[in-house]
Amino acid sequence: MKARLIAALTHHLQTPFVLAVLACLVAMLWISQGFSLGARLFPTAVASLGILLAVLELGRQVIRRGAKEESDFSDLSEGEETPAFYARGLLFFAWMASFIGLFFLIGALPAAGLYVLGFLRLQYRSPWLPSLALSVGLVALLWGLGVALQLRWPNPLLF
Amino acid sequence: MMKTRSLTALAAGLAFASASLLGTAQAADYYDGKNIRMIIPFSPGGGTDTFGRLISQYLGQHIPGEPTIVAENVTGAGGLLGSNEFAQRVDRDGTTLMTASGHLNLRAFLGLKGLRLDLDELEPVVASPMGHVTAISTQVGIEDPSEILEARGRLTKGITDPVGLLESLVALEMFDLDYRAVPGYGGRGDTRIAFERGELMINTQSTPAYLNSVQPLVDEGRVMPLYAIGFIDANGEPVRDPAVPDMITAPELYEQIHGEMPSGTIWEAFKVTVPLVQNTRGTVWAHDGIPEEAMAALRVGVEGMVNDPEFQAAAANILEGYDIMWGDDLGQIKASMAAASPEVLDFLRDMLNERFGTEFD
Amino acid sequence: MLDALINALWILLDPFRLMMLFAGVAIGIAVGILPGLGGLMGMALVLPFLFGMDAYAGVALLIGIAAAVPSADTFPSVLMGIPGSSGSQATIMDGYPMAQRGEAARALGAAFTASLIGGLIGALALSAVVPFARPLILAFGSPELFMLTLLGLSMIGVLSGNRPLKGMLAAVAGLALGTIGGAPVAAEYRFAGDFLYLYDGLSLVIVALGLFALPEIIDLLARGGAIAERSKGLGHGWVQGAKDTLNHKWLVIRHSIIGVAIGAIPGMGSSIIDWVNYGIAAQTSKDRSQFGKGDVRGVIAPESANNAKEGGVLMPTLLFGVPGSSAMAMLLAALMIFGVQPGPQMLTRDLDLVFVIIWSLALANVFGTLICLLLSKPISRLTFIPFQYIAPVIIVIVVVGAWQETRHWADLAFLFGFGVLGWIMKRSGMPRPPLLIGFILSGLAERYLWMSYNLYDWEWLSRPGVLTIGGLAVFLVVGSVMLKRSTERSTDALKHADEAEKKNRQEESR
Repeated sequence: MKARLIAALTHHLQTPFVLAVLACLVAMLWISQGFSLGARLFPTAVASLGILLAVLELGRQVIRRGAKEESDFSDLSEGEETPAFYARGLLFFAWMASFIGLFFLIGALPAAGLYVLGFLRLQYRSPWLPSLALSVGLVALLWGLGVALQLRWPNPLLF
Repeated sequence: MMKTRSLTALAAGLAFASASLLGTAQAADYYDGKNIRMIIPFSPGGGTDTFGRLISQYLGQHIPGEPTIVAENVTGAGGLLGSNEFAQRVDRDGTTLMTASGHLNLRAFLGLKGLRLDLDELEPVVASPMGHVTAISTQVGIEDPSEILEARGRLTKGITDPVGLLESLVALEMFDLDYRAVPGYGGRGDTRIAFERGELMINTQSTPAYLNSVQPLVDEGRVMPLYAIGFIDANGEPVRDPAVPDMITAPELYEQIHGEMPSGTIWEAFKVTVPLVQNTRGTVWAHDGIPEEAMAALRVGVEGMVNDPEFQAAAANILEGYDIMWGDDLGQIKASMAAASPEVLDFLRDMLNERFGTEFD
Repeated sequence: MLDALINALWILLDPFRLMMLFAGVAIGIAVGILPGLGGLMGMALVLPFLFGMDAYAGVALLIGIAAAVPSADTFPSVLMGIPGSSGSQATIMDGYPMAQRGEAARALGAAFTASLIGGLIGALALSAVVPFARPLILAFGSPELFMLTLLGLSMIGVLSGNRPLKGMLAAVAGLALGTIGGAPVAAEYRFAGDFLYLYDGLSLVIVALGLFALPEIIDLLARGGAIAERSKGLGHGWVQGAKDTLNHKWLVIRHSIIGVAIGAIPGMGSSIIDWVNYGIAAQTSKDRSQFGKGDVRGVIAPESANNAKEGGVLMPTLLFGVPGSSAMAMLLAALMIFGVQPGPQMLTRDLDLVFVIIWSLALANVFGTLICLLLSKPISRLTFIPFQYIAPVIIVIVVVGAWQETRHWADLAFLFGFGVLGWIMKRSGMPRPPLLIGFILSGLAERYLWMSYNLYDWEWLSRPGVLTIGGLAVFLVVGSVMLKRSTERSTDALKHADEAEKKNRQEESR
């Protein structure tokens, strides 16, 4: 069971991905038929070619299923294809999303300071001193950049 | 009797003076300690952006209260995002201005799909005009502009964004010329290179660009100027382009060929399109509903700016031979819009829609 | 001519003008290092100061920025695998694996030396070719430009490694993504609905940052530790890198020339230059097994072209007044402010200014790369710091950089979305560079194909330029396949020999 789970998540992620691409290309082909001639031809050609390639790729995957495809299914090394590694990836994506959320909610500079502090303290339990120093330093850097480059920050939604 | 009258006059004069003093005092207060944000809905570089930056640089110091004007390029969707932000998402208190191009004005005027800018709700602050010249390759086998209708071969004309070339298209339509539109060019500069290469047969450039880059080809005998688009004066009459006063204008050429001035809807369309595009190559807009003292302060600022020799020196190169429009002259921009009948607008929209598929709301 | 050249150097050696050149280089390095910000932003920033400035000083300032960005953008590409600006995407392919091996300083040293030489060749080419460049530029009509996009697409094979089918599929997906937004030849907005943000299509900066930066950060965090292992040391340092570059001098010269040539063609866009050069370098190499795993040639080729291209993009800018890149539009605006009309008459009327531009380009390249070289050793130590201290800083800077694109919330939504896409692609073995190349070339391919047809019907297919470029593309693809086969055979033979030897030894030891 566990082996199959790993396989589903890693080696065989390529199949669902190609299927998703295929679905997008079919949708694209469908939608583009409503365009005028000048806007339609290129997407039609691209989508058709893409569907052909996707089907070929799926066929190749079916035929070669089971065979060990050397460096073919992933750009990662062996140790990086465990479910734990995936879960950690998702966790860090969540951290990133939370920064983007904070960025809009409380403004860029407070979000940056809070995020760095939170990330280091909560995720890594880093000591207070380096965490605070990094956080303050980054906010100062961003503030300086904002002044020097006339950057424009989002209007915080909360205040 | 005499005395009372003069007394009344004096009183009136005093009242007026104090009112205007008060007005300036309020105007002076209004921008005190404020910043003005200048939205430029195009990417940096290019004529309209440079004009907007020029104004941002010099206008602030002449507005009472000396606000700092910060120019900001809000790009995206061919100017739609920046325009819509100015139209819908900023406070209408005079602390936000926008620099639009003539073609953006035209898009707003025709109601391009997705554009929320309503020129009726805006007030021009200052503007700069720009003429255009159409030239033709000598490969088409004509010797004089008056033979234009006998031009042979595939009369290709490069299209960037059809609304952005409307004044040149309307002129070609006026002659009822059978030309082949080739869309896909990135900008007028790209069409000029293609024209020089011999890929395109007909090309319209801004007058300064024509004088600078197309004139050498004319001297080599490879191309021939057809006509200047020309300007339309305050009375609705066509006049010559001040930068090329010796060049025949499109309506004049029409008269030379047909023996009469153009007429009908296409002529009305020409008279609407040309001033709207050419008088406002760069237009700084404020919201119509901003406080009176803000508007007064802006007007004071513009007057001070155009009389500032430092500004005049900086502006000379950017205006490229045309006079800046300010004060009462700006009334012409709105007047030419008001003069447009719904039929003319429909005609223009239909033309763009049928020929290029452009959609309007 | 020579008088004017020397005269221009004296003009530039004025202290204020030199100071402006330095200021430009400093700004260029700053915006180049920060992902998401590029030369256009730096130049827009200084434009207000140009009013009333002396034209030579203003030009030196702008050229200083333009010349320093392609040097400095190498830092994030090599050290973090994050494109510092759109010109240094291909440097990631081999520069980043080198950094992971602990050879960051070497990769940077090679890159900067290549940048320096490339930049100087670009300046030299500009001064030598500018009088004759006009007919050259005019020779590229829409049909030839279309063939060049095909040449760019033919690089996909070599960038897909041993997964050609997946590479092609990724490229087609990129082409499909590129069709989002306004159609180039029709007034129609495709796949955008009423969402105005999409009317201009997706931004290259966002797509590139999402595809390459975010997945790298996430995986490094998930793996833990630092980018490079300290135990491996800093490698041979930048001196070794500089030696590498000098050992490959023909590679540097060849790719500098290619960079100048592609840069000089208006309408191609400069963001494809690094990929094309990377592709050509890999395709024409006998032993290509290390490309993508940290071959120093994969750093040298795109970096020399990346700096040399500035000499190229200046040609259409000065000769035709048509910007060769988006940053060059700012130079045109500056020339307008100074009342200088670009065009062929610049070579007679403003020859001084043309030579000041060329000298500025050369000097800025020297200053810029020297500063970068000095910075390379301390900065490459960053790769040894535990990544949890680096990651949040990079995430913040990447998000801020992406936000500056249009300052629309969708900038960040798409950044995140492409980050997830890149992460999934990494996991499913879909190579990411072909997707990016397809995306960059999509609009160009569609535009020039339609224009060729509109202008010439199908007659364009028989134009000599079209046939030449087409032949070159076929030659590169076929040649590269043959080269690969022959090297595979020889490496296989080597491997067999190796194994045989090992067996022998094992037997002997028994």
